[in-house]
Amino acid sequence: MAAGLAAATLLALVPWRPTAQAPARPVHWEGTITSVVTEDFARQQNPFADGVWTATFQVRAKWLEKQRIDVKDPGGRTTGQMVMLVDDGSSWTAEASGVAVTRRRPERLQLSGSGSGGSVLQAGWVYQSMADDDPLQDILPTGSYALWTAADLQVLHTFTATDGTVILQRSPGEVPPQQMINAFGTRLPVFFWNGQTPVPAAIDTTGLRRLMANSLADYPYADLERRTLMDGRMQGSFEARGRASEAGVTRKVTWDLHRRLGITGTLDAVDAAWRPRLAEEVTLRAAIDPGLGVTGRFRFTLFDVSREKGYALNAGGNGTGLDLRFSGAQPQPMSRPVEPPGSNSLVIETSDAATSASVAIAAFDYGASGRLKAEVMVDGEWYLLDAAGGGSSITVPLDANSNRIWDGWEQNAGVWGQAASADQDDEPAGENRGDGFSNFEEYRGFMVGSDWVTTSPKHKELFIYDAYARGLGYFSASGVLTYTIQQTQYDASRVVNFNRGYASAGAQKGLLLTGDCGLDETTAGEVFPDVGTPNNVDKVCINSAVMRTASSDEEANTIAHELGHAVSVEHHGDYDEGACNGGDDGVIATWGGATSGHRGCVMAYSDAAYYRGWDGRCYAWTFPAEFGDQFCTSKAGTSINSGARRMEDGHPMPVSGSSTAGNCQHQVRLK
Amino acid sequence: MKRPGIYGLALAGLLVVSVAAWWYVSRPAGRVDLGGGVEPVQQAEPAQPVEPLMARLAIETGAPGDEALGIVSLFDGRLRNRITAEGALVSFSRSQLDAGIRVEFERPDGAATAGPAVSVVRAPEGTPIRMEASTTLEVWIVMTTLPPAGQRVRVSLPVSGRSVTTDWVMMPALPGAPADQLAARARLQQMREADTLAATADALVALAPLDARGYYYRGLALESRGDRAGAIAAYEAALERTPNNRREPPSALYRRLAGLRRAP
Repeated sequence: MAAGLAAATLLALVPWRPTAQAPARPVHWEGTITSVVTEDFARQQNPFADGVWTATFQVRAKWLEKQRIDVKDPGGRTTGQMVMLVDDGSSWTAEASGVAVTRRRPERLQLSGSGSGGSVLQAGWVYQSMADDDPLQDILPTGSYALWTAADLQVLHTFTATDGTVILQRSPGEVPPQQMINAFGTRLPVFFWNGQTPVPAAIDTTGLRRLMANSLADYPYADLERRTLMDGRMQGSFEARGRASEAGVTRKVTWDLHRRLGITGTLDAVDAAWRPRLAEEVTLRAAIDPGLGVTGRFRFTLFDVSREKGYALNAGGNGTGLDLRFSGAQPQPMSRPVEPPGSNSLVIETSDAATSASVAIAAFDYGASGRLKAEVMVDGEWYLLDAAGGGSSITVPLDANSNRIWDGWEQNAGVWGQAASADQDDEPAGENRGDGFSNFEEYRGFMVGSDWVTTSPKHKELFIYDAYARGLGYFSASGVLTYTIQQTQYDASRVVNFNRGYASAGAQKGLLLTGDCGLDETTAGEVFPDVGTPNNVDKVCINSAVMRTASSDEEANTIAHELGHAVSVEHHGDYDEGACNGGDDGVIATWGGATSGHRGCVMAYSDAAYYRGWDGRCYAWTFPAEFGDQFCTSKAGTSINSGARRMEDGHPMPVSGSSTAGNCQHQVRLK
Repeated sequence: MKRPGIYGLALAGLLVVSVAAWWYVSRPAGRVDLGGGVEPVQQAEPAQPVEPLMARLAIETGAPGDEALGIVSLFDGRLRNRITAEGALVSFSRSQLDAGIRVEFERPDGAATAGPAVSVVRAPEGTPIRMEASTTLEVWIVMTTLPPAGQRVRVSLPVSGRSVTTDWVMMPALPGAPADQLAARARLQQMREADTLAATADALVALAPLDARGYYYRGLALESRGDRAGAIAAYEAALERTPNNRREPPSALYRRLAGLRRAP
């Protein structure tokens, strides 16, 4: 098969102008070339009498700007450069199929084949004018280019005879070797430079004009159109038909190649100490590698941005806008951010070219997360910059394990390696772990009054709307950390993490502590509907009228006692009511009952009217009331409940002994 | 050269005002400029002043026709939540309190509208007060014109030179049964340490002799007068009429009785 060449050049539409020197960095042209060759055997003189064969070649072209030849006018002034291209790692694949009817022994054959290879460019060039009065501008506008692709790119072909015989051949005598693109866009064979032909350092405009007149239009597969770069790209197509003995051959070639500079750079990592807080910003910097000596416009893309409801678990409405956004106040002039519809991303670009740029990102949620990538545009092409730590993007905030929790929080909290949905709080140790909030939720945090707090993934925490307003008494002794919040910081069902979303441990309620429950006049406190977790308890009631006449110790004890019931803690035991020994009605303390165990525990009854001793008899309670201020950690009796069984002043001691329930701190359950 | 007339000056002034107004409405909110081109779906809330004081309102009602008592409780929420280590310094001015305290109603659209006038009957004294975690300051107000039952109500009051507002609370319904009305009145009188508690308690005992509440309030009234024996008898009568099948015992009653019995 023959190869061909064609001519080109039109008006230059591209502002790209090279420097006079060869580029310090490698410059590639990359893209695709598709060549479809069809042969109609009936119109050819070959072993086949009839049939059609079609071969499609797909080339992934990668060419290198190897050398520049100065073009000088008669006065010796450089008015342009021929930029010489060489193959630099191209590859191609081909698929072919068809039918053929043999001539000598009429038989219909199925034809198929395939092939692959590399290095497809024989020669190529791009002309770049360097003077406004370039004497060649009438025939070689800037951006004119020509390419000569390699010949003899063969596909393996298989003949399958009608009797099923399969013949594998590579014989050019049977099927012509398939050349892909023969040529397009040149009349300048002088620049067929393939590494063997010496390349002149310079050529004069007169000689070049003469060469341009050396038309190769008679070549059968030539692309006769002039070709110039369009928007910095080599793009085009042509169709050529063979002549004479190749009259049945048609070649359709399309190509799309763009210039790739060796632009590299980096996107810095986010400040390791930065975590998202509402309306706070972090600034990130991207830069082209300093040695390249080029500038460009930068494009930053925030993507995979979270869309949590509100801005904290219990605040910020129910909007689900992007949680990270580009700030309106940027370190340098930038475009308006664009949010592609339906995406979780935002794009912003610098207005001016520079060697580096910074972008300010604002958080709109305390649990905001996303990724950022940076690109730079040089000579009309975008180049993705390397992200710190490898890869093409960074996490915002720093999140090496990609669980949407800032690494610093996980490390400081001692939960590195746990799942974002883990709820393993174990302080105080108790019957179960967790406080109803996942690690991500504890990290994202809550609004408490006008303050935002991030809670602990280790420590059980409880939210309380304290309508009673006189504090939580001795409840802190439970070991549970409490937060007193506002009414509006619950939802209507008293769920505190109502803005939960990602990695939630489920709905978790807080408590309502109130003095407005309609308790009867003589009950100090009560929990409704019954002892349970905050998710089961409706309200914790303290009788404010009664407390007006109580001591501060009694009030603090009563509040803690009722709150204890609201985190599943039971009394130390039961009690009886009634009269003993002909006296008045009253509480009768029982062995192992409500007054038993640790006397300093808030869950122990402070006193009684009577007690039923270990001897089974009833005695008057003559001991001072004790308003405990602790949550006991064992069932063992203390004070009047401790020691061996004995009689003191006619009274059996200990009074109530160890508790039946007890170990109140261990009973605490928040979920 | 023609000098600008009055209309020209007015036009120039209008232009300046317009530009200023445009700048005001288009300026970035808070610390973050949201940036152009992207419509924020969820707005960042404007930076709010850190509010150390949390305020709660409790409303105690008596019988129909009685005044209602509003108790505004103030505490340092940031201190109780361990966000700060030092409590706020709170000062009250009685004159400012009298002049500035407001009751507000919640309208159906969520907005607040002015409620009835109130008078302050008790307020902290000896200010300024350094708040501690256990400190709860109370301002008591009385309402002679009662909001309708179910109306959400809140109170704003000047504290330390700024306005502090309670959460909304629902106005309780007045009791319907005569005995309940008297019990409610007695409770209110007890809280206000009213001299009329004994009369109300007697009326309740007369109306409902099997109701423990009348005897309990009678005991409170007698105890406050120093009538120890009478108070014990009244509490014992209350005990006899108190059912004993409850989860929590009538500890207040027991404790008062035990205290009186133990007293020399």
